[in-house]
Order: sequence, then structure tokens, then C-alpha cells
Amino acid sequence: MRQAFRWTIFMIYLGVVLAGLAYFIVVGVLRW
Amino acid sequence: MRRFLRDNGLSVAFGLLFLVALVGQAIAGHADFNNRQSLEGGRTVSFWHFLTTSDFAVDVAENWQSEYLQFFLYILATVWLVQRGSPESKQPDQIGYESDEKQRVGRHATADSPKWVRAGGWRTAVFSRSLCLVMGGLFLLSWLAQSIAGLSAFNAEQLSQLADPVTWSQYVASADFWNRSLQNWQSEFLAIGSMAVLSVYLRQRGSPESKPVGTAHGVTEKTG
Repeated sequence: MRQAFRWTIFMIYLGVVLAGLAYFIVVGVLRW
Repeated sequence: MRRFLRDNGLSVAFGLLFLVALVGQAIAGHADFNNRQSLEGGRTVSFWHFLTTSDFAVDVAENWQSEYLQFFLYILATVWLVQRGSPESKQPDQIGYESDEKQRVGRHATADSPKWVRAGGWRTAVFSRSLCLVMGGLFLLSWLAQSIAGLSAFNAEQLSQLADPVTWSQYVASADFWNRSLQNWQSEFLAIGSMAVLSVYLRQRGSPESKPVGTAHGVTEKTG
């Protein structure tokens, strides 16, 4: 259970960063 | 819940601090953007519209890339470089990738080792470098995002001053791109160097980033 929590936090961190970067790239391209 | 917070305090606290600071940056950035627009006779934008501008995107991305570069280089450099007396460093006689036995790989893997370590072959090779691969990959992605959003913001500025827009390849060779990159890098490198050096002679009781308070200055020890 606790292992699952840690994995969830890991995925949230990675997900937030990747989603943020994808968003910045899309914003940059659309405003090109 | 209480147990969850105690076991994950570091990641939860810094995750929340990140969100609060990002919202703060967005609010201050929006106000600053509109101030400049007013001064230059441009139109002001709503808060939500500001979040979709390349000005906001480049400001966030340029800081992200430098942080990931910092950790990527730090993790990689500490394999080969040591600082005698620093808790951030390993012992000078352990420079390099170290033995399979110490790293618990190959026939030294244990039953509770991660699956890719027990698998051997390319999976163990990738997993053995996964932290650097991901940190380095995130650095490159962030830097790419900075270059694309930065180009877009730079060209908007160029057009508002009736100057010619530039291409991506021209932008990544421009003073604007390198000024944004290097001003972040220099502070990260100074911070890493400071951490390695100051922790030789200074202590923080209870922190694993510090040596134990009573440890001699010359001792290179991993945790406190």
C-alpha cells in the first residue's frame, strides 16, 4: 500500500513536469 | 493520512511549495506583462490569456531547464569527481562506477532488488543510468521548450518594434537565448559548488545533507 503511494507521487511529479513541458512547447508553436 | 504525510513529507511539501510559487509567478508575471503592454501602447490581457502566452512559457521553461541541468550534472559529476571533506561526495578511493558487489548488480543482486536489476543485460544497463537519463532528458526537453517559447516571445517583440522575425536556428544562436540560459546556469553551478564546499566546514544538525555535527572537517562522510 505504502509502496503504491510512493509510486503515485513519483508518477505525479513526472506527469506534471512532462505535461508542463508539452504545454509550453504547444504554446510556443501556436504563438509562433 | 498522518502516516502518509510523515512518510512522504519531503515530496508533498516541495510539491505544494512549487504550486504556490508557480501561481505567484503567474500573478506577478501577469501584472508585469500588462504594465509593459500599457507602457508600449499594446493591449492588456486577462490572467487566463496570460497563461497561454509564450512570455509565461519561456519564463517557466528557462528555470526548469537549468534545474534539471544542475541535477543531471551533479549526479553524473559525483561519479567521477570528489570533494574531500564534503558529505555530498563519496570517498576518493571509490571514484567511478564501483564494483558490482557494492552496487548489488549482476550475481550480487538480491531477491528484493528492482526487476530490471535482476533481469540483467540491456535492462540492467539502462536502469543503472536511469536517474541521469531522465534528468538529462528532462533538461533537453525543457531547453527545447525554452527555445520554442522564447522564439515566439522574441518574435512578438521584434514585430511590435517593426523588426524582422527570426527563425528557430537563428534564435538558438541569439543573445536573448544564451542570456536566458547562462544567467540560470551560472547560479546553479555556484549553488552546487557552494553546497560541496560549505558543507566541509559547516553543519546542520539532523540534516542528511550535512555531516554529523561532531565529525572532523577532513572526514568525507555520506550522511549525517
